[in-house]
Amino acid sequence: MKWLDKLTVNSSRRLAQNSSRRSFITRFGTALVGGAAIPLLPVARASASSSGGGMYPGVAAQESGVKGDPGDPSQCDYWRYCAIDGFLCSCCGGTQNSCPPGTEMSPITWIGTCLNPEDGKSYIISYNDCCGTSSCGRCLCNRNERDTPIYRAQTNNDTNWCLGASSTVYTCSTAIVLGVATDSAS
Amino acid sequence: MATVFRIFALCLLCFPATSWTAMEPRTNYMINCQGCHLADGRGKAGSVPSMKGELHKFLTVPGGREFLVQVPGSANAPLNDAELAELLNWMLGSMSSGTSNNNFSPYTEAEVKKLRAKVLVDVMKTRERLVRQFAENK
Repeated sequence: MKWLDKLTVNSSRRLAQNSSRRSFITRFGTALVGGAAIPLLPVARASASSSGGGMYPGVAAQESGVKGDPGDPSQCDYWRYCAIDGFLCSCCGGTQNSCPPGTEMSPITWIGTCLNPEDGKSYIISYNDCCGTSSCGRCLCNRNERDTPIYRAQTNNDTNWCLGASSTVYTCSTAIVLGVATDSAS
Repeated sequence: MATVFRIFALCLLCFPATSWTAMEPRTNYMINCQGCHLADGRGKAGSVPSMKGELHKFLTVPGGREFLVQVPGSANAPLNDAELAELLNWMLGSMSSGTSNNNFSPYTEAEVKKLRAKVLVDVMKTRERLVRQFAENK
C-alpha cells in the first residue's frame, strides 16, 4: 500500500505547488465537498412529502385503486367522506375500509349516502368507527352533509358510535360502501 | 300553435313524474335502520333488539301490529306513510316469516297514517308486555 500513499502525497503536493489559492480547481473541490454535506443535515423530511398533496405531515397521497372510486382517501374532500366527522383511518394506520391494528370496528354505525362524482350515483356509506385506542389525532375531517340534530340520533355524527364495540374509546372513522341507493322507480 | 301547446301540456300530465326519488324498501332499511339493527336485523344483544326471526311474532298478539308502526324507530323515521308501510311489509317478509302466513294482510298507507298518529308513551313497558304475551303463546 506504500505506493498508494506515495502517489497520493505526490499528486496532492504537485497540485498544491502548481495551482494558486484562487484557482478554479480548489473552489470547485470545496463546492463539491460542501454541497454533498448539505443533504446530510438533520431536517424534517416528512413535512416535505406533505407538500406533494398530503393533508397531514407525513401522510403521503393515496388512492383506492378501484376503478370508479376517484380521489384520495387520505384527503377530507374524498367523495365517501361527505358526512364524516372524525379522524380519517386512512391517516391512522388503517384505510377508508379498515381499522388500524389494535382497534376494533364498531358494528353499530351510522349510515348515509354520498354522491360518487365518477358515475353520478348515490351510494350508501357506512361510517363505522374504530375503537379501542386513544384518538388518532391526524386528518380531522368534519363535513356534516345531511348531518341531523341529536333528536334524530341515527344520523347524527356527533354521537360516539363506539357504543357497539367492547371499548367505547374512539380512535378514527372509516367510510365503507354498502351499495347503490336504488330508488323504487328503477 | 296554441293547440300544440295544449296537447303538449296534456301529455305532461299523462306521464307520472320520472324524477321520482323514493327509495326502494331495502335501501330505506339500509339508510334508516341498518346502522343499529345490522344488515340481517339481528341487532346487538343487550342494547338493540333482534328482529331476525322475531318480527312476525308481534302480529300474533293484540297490540303488536300497532306497536311495529308506533315504535319510535318506525314512527320517527324520516319516511312518509306509504314508504313506512312498504318498509314494514318488506321487513316482515325478508327478516321474519311474517308474510308466509296466509292470514297476513300487508300494511297500507292509510293504516300506517292512522296508527302513526298515536304516540306510544311507554315504549319499553309496551314491548315487554307484548314479548311476554307471545312467549306465553308458544
